[in-house]
Amino acid sequence: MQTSDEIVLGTHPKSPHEHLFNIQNVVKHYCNGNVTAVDHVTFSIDRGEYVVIMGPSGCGKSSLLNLIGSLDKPTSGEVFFCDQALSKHKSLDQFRATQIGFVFQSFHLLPTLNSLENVQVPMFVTPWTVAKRVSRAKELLALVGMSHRSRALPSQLSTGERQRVAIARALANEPCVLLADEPTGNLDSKTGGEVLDIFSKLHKARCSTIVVITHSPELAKRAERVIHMMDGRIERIENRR
Amino acid sequence: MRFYKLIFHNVMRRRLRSALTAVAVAIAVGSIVSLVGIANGFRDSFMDFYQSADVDMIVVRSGSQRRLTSTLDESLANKIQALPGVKEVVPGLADIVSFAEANLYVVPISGLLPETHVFDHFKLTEGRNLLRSDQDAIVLGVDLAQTLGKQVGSVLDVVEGQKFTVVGIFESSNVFESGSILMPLADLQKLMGREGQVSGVSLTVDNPQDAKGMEQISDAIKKLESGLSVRTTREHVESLSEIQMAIAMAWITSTVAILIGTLGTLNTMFMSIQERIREIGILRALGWERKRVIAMILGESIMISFIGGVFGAVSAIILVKLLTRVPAVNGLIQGRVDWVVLAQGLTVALMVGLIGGFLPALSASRLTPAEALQN
Repeated sequence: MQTSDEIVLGTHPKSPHEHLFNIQNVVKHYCNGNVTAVDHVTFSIDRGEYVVIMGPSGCGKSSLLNLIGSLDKPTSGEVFFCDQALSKHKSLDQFRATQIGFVFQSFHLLPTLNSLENVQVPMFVTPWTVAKRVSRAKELLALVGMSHRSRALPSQLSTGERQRVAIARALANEPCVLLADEPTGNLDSKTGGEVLDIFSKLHKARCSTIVVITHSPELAKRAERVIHMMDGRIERIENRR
Repeated sequence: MRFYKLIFHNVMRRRLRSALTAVAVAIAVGSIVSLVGIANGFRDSFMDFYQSADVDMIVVRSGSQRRLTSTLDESLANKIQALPGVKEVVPGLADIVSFAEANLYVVPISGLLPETHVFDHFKLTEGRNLLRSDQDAIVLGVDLAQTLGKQVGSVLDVVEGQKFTVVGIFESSNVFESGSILMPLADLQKLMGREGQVSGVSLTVDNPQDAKGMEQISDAIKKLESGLSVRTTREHVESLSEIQMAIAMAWITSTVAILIGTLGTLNTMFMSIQERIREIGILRALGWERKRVIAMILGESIMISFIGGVFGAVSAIILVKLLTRVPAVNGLIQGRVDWVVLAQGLTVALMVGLIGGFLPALSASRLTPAEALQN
């Protein structure tokens, strides 16, 4: 019988690829080319790796995460997932729905839905029955310690509780990759630590790939690799394995 | 949670926003239903007037679609009576008077021949009917009598300085008649300076089911004199300029109301979706396809429009009912809204919902998820 940890995250795609993501010379311009957010960045992310991207504000780390997660398109260069170019992917919506789980700094919960309903939102794209969606949503809320607040609206939750629900939602469709943009940015240190514990638990449970953007050295300590960015470029990479 | 429940929660948990949008739709729909319903009721009143009087055909001066401007020679009635197939002929003179002190400005007054069976369908509630021997006598419709505070024996200044005595009060199923005055034809002709003239001639035929026979009678009447218009009751009512004007006015006014309501609703919906661009970005980030996002927003806008449409329609029905009780109306409207008008109003509501939801949703869903999240 599967434990709650085992059912949380999806398995990696069945492929011989060593690298899950291959970011090849990506560039991202804004404001008609006047702003270069990502400047010829190349690196890869392996299956099961826990990667942190750090850097000062405006260094391009959120823009880079958006490109990795297909929330945005690079001006030039390419992002490969399992050797397939995202620019040629037949459905990026489906890619995000099945392979990626996002956690945002501002949580981004839907204000008119309670916790249980918010966790189910990504599941509409799956063929699951209503009963299965509700059942899985309850399990995920239990995993993040939010079962007792399943009927609460986001406005009735504390910031830490909202982030927990957001993490549960990110895990809804059993993604193989979790992308988090400053997940503890709006949390106090205690709550932030609890959120980081959840990430560590997820990483250890199924060796899932986690990519986190943060300013927090505390979070960086938990990572296997830290990518330091400055002015849109990779300044250095620390391997901590 | 099912998809329709998500739509339901989005609408019901944003109460103020949803209510404001629904009110905009309600105003547009309420305007259509009440204005067009009133105009249709006005037309139906005229129809009932003739049908209840058992009239098969009406003869008026050709080109004069207003009864009041039609002028025929009174002697025409006798010529028509002599035609084969004609059962009874009733000449009549119609005009309008006003009673400013009671805020009544459109009171129909009809001059008819006393002691003819045209008076049979006016049901007397007090007093008596007009007699050929009467001098300066009138009979009032019950609604008008109530509004003016008159009863049998009262004296009424029909036209300034011209006093008439109320000899009877009648009620009619036709609201138009219940707010009118009846007097002997000769008296009204004298009062209005139209001696020897009538507005039109109503007639009944021996066999109203015989369409060919009706046509022959019509042709024979037209040969009596040039410039005559001979129509069946329905054709006549629908050609009346008062009716056409009332219906045209209703549609013009309700079209303006639709435009204002639609633009207001579209603006409210557009602003509402603009405020939710980030939410749309979240849904796209979570893997929702554009068509699913559009379906959700469309579902919400149709739901809000339907609620607004129903509320507007119900309010219009209540408003029309209340208006019929206002004395100044004096029974000119029936206070009846039929299902066709309701369907028209609700159709407009749904169209507003579709357009108001689709266009901004399509525009918002075209942004990349990153662009939408940064909004």
